[in-house]
Amino acid sequence: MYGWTGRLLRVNLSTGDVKSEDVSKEVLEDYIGGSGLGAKIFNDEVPADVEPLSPENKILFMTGPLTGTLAPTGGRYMVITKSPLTGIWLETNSGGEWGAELKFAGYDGVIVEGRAKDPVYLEILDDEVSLRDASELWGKTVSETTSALKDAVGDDDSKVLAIGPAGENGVLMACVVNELGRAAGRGGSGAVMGSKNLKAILVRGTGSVKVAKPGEFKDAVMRSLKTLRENPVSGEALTTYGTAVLVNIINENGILPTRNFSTGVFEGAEKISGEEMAATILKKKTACFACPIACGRYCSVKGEFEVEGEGPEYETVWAFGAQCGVDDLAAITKANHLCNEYGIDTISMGNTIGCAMEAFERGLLRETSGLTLNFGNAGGMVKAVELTGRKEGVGEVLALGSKRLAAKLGEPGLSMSVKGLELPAYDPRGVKGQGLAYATSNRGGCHVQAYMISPEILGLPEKLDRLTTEGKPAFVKMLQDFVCMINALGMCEFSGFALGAENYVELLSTATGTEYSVERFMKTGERLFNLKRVINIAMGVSREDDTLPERLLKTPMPEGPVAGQLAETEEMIDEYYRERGWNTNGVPTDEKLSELGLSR
Amino acid sequence: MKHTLLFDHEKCSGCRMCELACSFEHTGEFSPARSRIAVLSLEHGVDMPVACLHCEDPLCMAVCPSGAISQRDGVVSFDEELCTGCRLCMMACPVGSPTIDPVVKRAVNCDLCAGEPACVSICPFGAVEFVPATHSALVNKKRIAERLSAIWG
Repeated sequence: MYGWTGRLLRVNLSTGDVKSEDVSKEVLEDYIGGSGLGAKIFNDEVPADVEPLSPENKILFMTGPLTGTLAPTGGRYMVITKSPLTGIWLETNSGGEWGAELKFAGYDGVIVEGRAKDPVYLEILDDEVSLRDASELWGKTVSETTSALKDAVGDDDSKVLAIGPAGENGVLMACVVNELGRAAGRGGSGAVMGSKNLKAILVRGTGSVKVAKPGEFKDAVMRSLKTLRENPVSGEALTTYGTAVLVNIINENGILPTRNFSTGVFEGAEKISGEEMAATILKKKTACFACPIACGRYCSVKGEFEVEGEGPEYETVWAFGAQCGVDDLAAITKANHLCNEYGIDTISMGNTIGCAMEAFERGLLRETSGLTLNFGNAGGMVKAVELTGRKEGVGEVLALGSKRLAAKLGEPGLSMSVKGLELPAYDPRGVKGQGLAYATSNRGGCHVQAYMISPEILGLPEKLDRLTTEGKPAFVKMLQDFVCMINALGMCEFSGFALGAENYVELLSTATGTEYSVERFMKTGERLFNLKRVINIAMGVSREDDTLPERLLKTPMPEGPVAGQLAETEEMIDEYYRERGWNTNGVPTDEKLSELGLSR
Repeated sequence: MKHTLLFDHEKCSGCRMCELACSFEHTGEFSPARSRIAVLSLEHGVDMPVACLHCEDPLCMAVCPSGAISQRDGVVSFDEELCTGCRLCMMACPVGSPTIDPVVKRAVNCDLCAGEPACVSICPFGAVEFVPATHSALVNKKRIAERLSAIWG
């Protein structure tokens, strides 16, 4: 097979069985790979009412047909499971090199099921796959685990994906980290791994990925590469300043959520910006596998928050910065590092601490392990991350995420989340389409299932009026289908700043040898989005979940360029459902499912 | 005029596109294990591309017991037919350039792609350049001078 390897590894931790399975070409063509193929397998094999942290839940690590090729940014893998944080569909992806290495070992993905009796790690050395004792590693941080496993196998070129103490401790926002600083961050996949007593997966692959039409594929790669390098966002801004180049831009637009979304303007934005980072703590830019953008930031901080390693990206800078009222880049970098070591999602962590800070200032949260958790307290924030990772003291409630925390305190409205997943770094009151995208993302409060900031703020691929609701439902739908494809191919969404459907189509077609048109490509994306919705409907999602926190719907933005604005998802939701071919309760109709080749 | 590869670790992001382009050029497949250039990830976030520097008096050629290594127009050349896979060249090379190809099981090495190195064409950041051999030292001197002038200026 070309592009795909056509093989999956199935690992049953309860029985210790490990086997390789073939996937049919037809299934691959219809579901592509990544979170698309992952959704197909998950839907076929896992009951909707499965308890996320039980042995019956499964966790999948999936690459796409372009992972491991020269397709620019084609180095990603996706983690698929039922989220313990949200109780619904979870896909979360990561770059680094792990995904490509898995492909070189000969697998499109790994399906993990069951629960090991004692801690284990999975070792994949090409065709030699084994489960090994990890009891000595239990309790270790991500970097300690990574070093220990590389030493054990004696191959520094091997790649390690691991959980830290947070995943072991069942922190609901625990993530999976590979190459020390790359994370499949969102939704608590680390806790699922921890519940299965699976500490890590080491992979070393010395094989290859073949493409169907080498000459044409290379031409397609060179066209995409040129387009990416010439684009002002992917070829310049992200390379020079990293994703944190957005801090000033988003703040100037009045939508940088500050102090738990109480305003959209942060007075300390300049001090935590990508420009400031480049001028102070940045050592060098780093790239994921096969990526010409290199938005990664290797940073070094001295003093109270001394740390060296992968620096914070935009969402993290926001979460531990504006959201917590902190303007100290050193503290933010330290908090980011602790999240990487403990294995915690930075967005949910920072957002939840911001929620706790508001509760603390309002006298609702009193048990804080002696921490003064007021907004702006950088030291308290950093300590709170550590306590969460260890699930000690106030960390025990922070580990539950903002929704459960706010509910416990009797003020559910303090949680800035959708479907239980903490919102990221754009206040939807000033970007109407992004609000709809938050409300309808299949994994909950997330920006990347349809990054409407691109058209609404950055003007890519075209500039849309950010304050109108008109035309947004159709645009959000289109973008969601498009992103489903990027996440199925094994590429990074940042490539989408520059590349259009025609670029992905020629890369996919020449790599796999299966001809896709733009129409078939987008229809496939629609199939994948609807399949995930079908999974969610079975898990209990309905219209009432497709909404935003009340604060954003009812309290006007108090100041700045979008003062007086509200999020307007209710105004758009019916039109969005119509665009999708769903009924008024947000359920895909039989006609739509049959058109897409899906069934309930 | 003899040209060689020149590497700049400060420009290298560690994306390893050079490894993919190299293996693709030589084998038609994407496989870092079959690449003749390797990006080493070192401590403190340093990434360093390494490949054959095409020595004037190659140690690999001197130790090769089967006459598989020759020098033509300044380019060190490996002959897979004559190679026995003994690995002596790997031990002798000062930068560790030759590798045993995992498929053909013979030593392979950078051949500069007949004058148009694939790694140079693909590198998005200009971290691998193809320069006249006599200029490579000069380029490095110039870089150091530029850094010093930035500090002193």
